[in-house]
Amino acid sequence: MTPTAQRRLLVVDVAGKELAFDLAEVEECVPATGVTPLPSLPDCVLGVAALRGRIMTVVDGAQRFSLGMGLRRYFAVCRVNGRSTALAIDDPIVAHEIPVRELDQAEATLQLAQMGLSPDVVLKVYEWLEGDAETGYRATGRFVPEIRLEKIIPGELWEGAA
Amino acid sequence: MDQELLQAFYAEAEDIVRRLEADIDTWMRDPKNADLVNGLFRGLHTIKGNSSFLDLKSITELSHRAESVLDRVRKNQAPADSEVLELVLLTLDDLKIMIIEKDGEYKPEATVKRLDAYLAKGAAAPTTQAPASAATLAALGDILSGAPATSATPEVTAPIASAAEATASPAGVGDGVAKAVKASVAAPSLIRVEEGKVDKILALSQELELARNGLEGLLERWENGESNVKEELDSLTRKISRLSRSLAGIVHGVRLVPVNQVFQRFPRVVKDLAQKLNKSARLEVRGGETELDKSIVDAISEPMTHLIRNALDHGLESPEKRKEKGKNPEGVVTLSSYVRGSYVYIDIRDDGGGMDPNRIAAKAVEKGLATQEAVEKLSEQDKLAFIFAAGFSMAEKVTDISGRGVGMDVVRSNIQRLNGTVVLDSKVGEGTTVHLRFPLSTVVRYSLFVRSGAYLAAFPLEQAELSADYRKRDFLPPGGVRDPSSEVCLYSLKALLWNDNSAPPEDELHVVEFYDSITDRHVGFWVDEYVSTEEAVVHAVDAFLNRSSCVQGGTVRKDGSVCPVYDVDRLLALAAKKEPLALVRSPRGTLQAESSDNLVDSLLAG
Repeated sequence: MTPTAQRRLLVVDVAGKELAFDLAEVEECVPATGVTPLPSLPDCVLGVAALRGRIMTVVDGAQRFSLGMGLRRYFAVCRVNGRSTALAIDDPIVAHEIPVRELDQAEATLQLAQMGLSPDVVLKVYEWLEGDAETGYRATGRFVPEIRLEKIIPGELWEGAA
Repeated sequence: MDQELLQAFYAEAEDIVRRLEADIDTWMRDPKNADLVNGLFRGLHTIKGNSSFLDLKSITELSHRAESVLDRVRKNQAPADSEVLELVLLTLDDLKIMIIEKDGEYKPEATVKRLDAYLAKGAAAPTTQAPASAATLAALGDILSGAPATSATPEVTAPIASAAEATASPAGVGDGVAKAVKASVAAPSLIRVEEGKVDKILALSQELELARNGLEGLLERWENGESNVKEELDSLTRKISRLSRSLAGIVHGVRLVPVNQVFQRFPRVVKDLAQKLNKSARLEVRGGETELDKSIVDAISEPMTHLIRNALDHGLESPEKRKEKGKNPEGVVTLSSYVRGSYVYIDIRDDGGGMDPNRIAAKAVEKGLATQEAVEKLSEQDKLAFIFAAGFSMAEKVTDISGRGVGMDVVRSNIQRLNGTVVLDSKVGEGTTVHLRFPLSTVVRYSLFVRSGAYLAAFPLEQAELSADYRKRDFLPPGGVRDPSSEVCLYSLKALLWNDNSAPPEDELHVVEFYDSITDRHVGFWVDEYVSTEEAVVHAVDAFLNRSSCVQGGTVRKDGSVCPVYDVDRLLALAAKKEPLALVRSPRGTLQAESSDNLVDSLLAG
């Protein structure tokens, strides 16, 4: 099997599901710290936390993507609309260039339905391949949706922010 | 090629090009001004010398020719006529492409040909050979101008890693799993720092080092059995605290640059556009020295250009129409910048025809963006905000209030991306002001900390009128405010923020009082406990948190937690929409309460 792409991804575990993010847009993963709740926010926005001298909005990945209850053990610090935002995840799994097969739309829709993930928040769905160019690539049956980073913050919060 | 040197060249050359643009605008009005010609000549000369040193041939050859043209003018061998002006403008346009846009493939052949043609008209064509080195050119510059071809303020350039580069391995992630790798390999962004600031940083670092030595000495004495060191320790701790605060303040300031860096691009934009539109307009700039984060200054040029273009195209009337209205035929576009609270404002104002909120609302109804019933309930500002709706602008363009909305949705999203907000203010017949508001990334300010329910909350101290205990017996019977100067509309802060409608205690309750200039009333927020009044470093938060949660910033407490600093104006607006818990006679003048002035005075004295 030949990979259709080599993607630099951060793959994380959120409430038992594997989600991927474009690694170029992820600053770091750090152990979760205390979050200060703020009023009138949707449930998936936990509040704000201080990370390396900056104050960031913290979004709960599990609630944001309707995946149930997560462990929130780590924060993946992502660039969202030019600002750093902390996404609470269970655990980081891998962060490097991964050989993948990009699923076509029908396959992707099926996988997302099985995961219970809305297609609106997903850029692409990949099957993670094993092996390398020398030994050859094998299908693993592990499917990873790449999340649209701009969707981490719920749209209704941006609307009318000006 | 040395990348650091190249980055430094581009940074300096960009500054020079921007300055030359502003100078040209002045020169157009005053073509006989020899100082300006000399300044333009020196700027081009510096670019030529430095680019030659780095072997950037296209830049060198172009600036060399343009410099030769100006040399004739400064030596009175040629007049400062429209041809010269056009040649210099063309040169600047090309330099902008090669220096600001860093287009390494661009060849300014057309401009070079025109410059050569001009120079060929004279006695001797310029040599096309690039000068040998920057040193020789600099020396030549000194001889020619009598002044060094460097900027007036001594500066050093220090590389600052962009946020995207600030990566780290995920601390604590074991078992050989995730390793976050370098997120970006983009070239480092450079910030020019005044030499004076670097000197201050050095001096403070040295003072801190001395204080640390003192601390070590104290520790040694304590270990040797000297128990009476507490007083010295307290004094040293205070000193270290003061030094580290000062150091943090200066280091944070390193990212700040004057907004003039972007303002000075616009005189020419206004001139060119006015000419194209057959309008008469001038640009006025105020507060250009206001400092703003470099990343914002770098990014606001595009949305500002759009807004200025809108102001000229759709805001300002034609000279004839202005005369008819009794206005000066020359319209004025004003750019101003100022700091208010934790925000930097940039206002773009035109003295044109203004926008009619009702006509905009009618258009919104026509386009199906809102119902007639809904728009009738909207404030004027909310009606004006329809121009931010995507696609609204195209239809507006054909009307006489016209395409004010052209691309305004894009302007707004660009400003939001910078964590800023856009507010419109317009009066029919008088003009329109677009207020761009950006949070100061970090600001040190006196803050009043209280506890409300389970949470800490802070307010900017200068906005608080009073922080005092109110007695329940001072509650007034219902029936509206009779004496607005002494009566306070009381609200529960936790009810406003958290919908927690617990009843206030029976005897005394702590209240922080503010004055609401919009409703002209005193408003008190009942809180559970006064905690402290402190100088706090307030960091910016995402702009949407201001709208959703009335938060304008956050400060990090000693335990690492974040305390939100609330936007009092937002809170007052929220309160104005609700019924007060009670009316209370203010204890001002009867109780020994701590007013913000007293609190600040005592803090300063301490």
